[in-house]
Amino acid sequence: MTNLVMVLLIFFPIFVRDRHLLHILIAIFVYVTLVQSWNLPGGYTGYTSFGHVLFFGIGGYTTAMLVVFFSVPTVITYLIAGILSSLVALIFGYISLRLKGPYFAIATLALATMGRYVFLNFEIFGGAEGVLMPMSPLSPDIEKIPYYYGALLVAALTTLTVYLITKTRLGLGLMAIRENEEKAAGAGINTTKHKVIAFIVSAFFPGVIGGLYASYLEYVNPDSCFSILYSANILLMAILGGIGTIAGPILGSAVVVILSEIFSVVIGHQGRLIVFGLLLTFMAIYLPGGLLSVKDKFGYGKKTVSFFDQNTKDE
Amino acid sequence: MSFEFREVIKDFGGIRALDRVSFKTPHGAITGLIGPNGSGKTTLFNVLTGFLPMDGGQIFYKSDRIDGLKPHEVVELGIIRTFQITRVFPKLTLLENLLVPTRTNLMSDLLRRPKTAKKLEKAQRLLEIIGLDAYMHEPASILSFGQSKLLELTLSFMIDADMVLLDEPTAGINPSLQSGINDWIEAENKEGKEFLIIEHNMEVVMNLCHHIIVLHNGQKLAQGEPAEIQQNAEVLDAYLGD
Repeated sequence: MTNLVMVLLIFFPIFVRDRHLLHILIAIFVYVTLVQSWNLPGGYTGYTSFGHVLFFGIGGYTTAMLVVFFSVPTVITYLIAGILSSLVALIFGYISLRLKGPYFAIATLALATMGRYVFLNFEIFGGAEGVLMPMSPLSPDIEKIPYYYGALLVAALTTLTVYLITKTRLGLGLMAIRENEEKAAGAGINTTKHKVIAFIVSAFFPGVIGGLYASYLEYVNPDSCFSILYSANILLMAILGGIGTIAGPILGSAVVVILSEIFSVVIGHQGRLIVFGLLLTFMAIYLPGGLLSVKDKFGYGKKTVSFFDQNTKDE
Repeated sequence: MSFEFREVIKDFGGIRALDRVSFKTPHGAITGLIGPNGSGKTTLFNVLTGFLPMDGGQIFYKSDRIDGLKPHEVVELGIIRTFQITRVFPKLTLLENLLVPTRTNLMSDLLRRPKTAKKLEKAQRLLEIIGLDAYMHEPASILSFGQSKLLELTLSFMIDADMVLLDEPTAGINPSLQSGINDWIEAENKEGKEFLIIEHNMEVVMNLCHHIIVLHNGQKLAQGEPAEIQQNAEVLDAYLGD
């Protein structure tokens, strides 16, 4: 199944040149990267971040600045963007990962908001107008294709990385922290080290995809990079798909992006946000394990983790 | 001597939970830690294992100072504890639960698979002993309270710890299993493992422990062999009231 989807996605642009369809798939890959990387600290470790967009934005601005002002080759800027995001995560992680539950969530929200204001108010970042990047030299009917494959590759690497980590001692340690942090420490887990590593890894991929998406859009500005809508979408997709699972973020990203497209046409942008708000509420009450837990409702489920269980567990 | 406490103090606000507690535990022994409710036993465990900072004094293990270490650093030294209220990892399977305890946090170890043939075999053997091997791949949340306590105890045997701290290991477990657990502790002790055990059941304490420390109102009231403690007038007073 997974292989079949992968093969279809690899050959898709060869047969389909519809710009809008390609754009939708690129958006899905971007979100898979964001949600899957959020999933490592958020789903597997139980540290719910409301500010994951920060790393996406740092990536975007890093690529824009390096390409426009220093003429660094674009692909190299993606790597630098990832490394810079991880560096910010390292510093911020040491400070904020002492906080738990809602306090951690609020701290991440505050940080992402601060990030937006930094880029909005410093002259060198172009203020509210942001930075324009060079146009693609490719003709319009194929210009999306490199970004399609780039985003697909980053989404696949993110998923693979998170999957591999869950199979290691580190991954088991993270899940133990989610289940009971004090007990994990008592069992010998260096909880700070585990959490900071998870946070650094989780910041790298949004940095890379942020850079890639910026060069795809050919501009950055505070709203394209730091919009709170990204963080809200990440949460919606994670919860809808099933957090703390590998397939959940992929499913959630695809469903939400496709629904967004349909709703935008049918009920308009504002109406779409209301529907998603209601959907999130519905999921929280009736299906906290996400779409992947539907089958568990009828059988015995052990792999899916409820977002709401882990946040309401007694301390 | 394995543990040495020197004038250890722990305050909670205005309440002194540990009041200049000093003692040494004999090498190779099962040491019992007893005292009425609120006497400071669990606080002593929390201070000893790095879960609570202390307000004065020093703690040594095999003549190395260990106060101020973080919980995982204490485990790296070979000291592991259980909790009074069981804290198994509910959404992990029994096997995964048993694979969590570790004595190393090096990056090279963190990137290994947790399930080695040796660990798997050990986990299977331990689960057989507590009669839960059939549920190895089920989440720990299906266990009853007593079974969780057993699993918690088993967790502390998964790493090759030299010292095991047990906080009421048999409370709430049926008597036949209790004696099984105590036999198990004795067998592990003969293999060279040391124990420090908080226990309320006097019969168990007197039979199992080689050495007993009595806490009362945060102070050490008495210390000695079971026979001495049983004759100690102060201890009897503390337990029976006056």
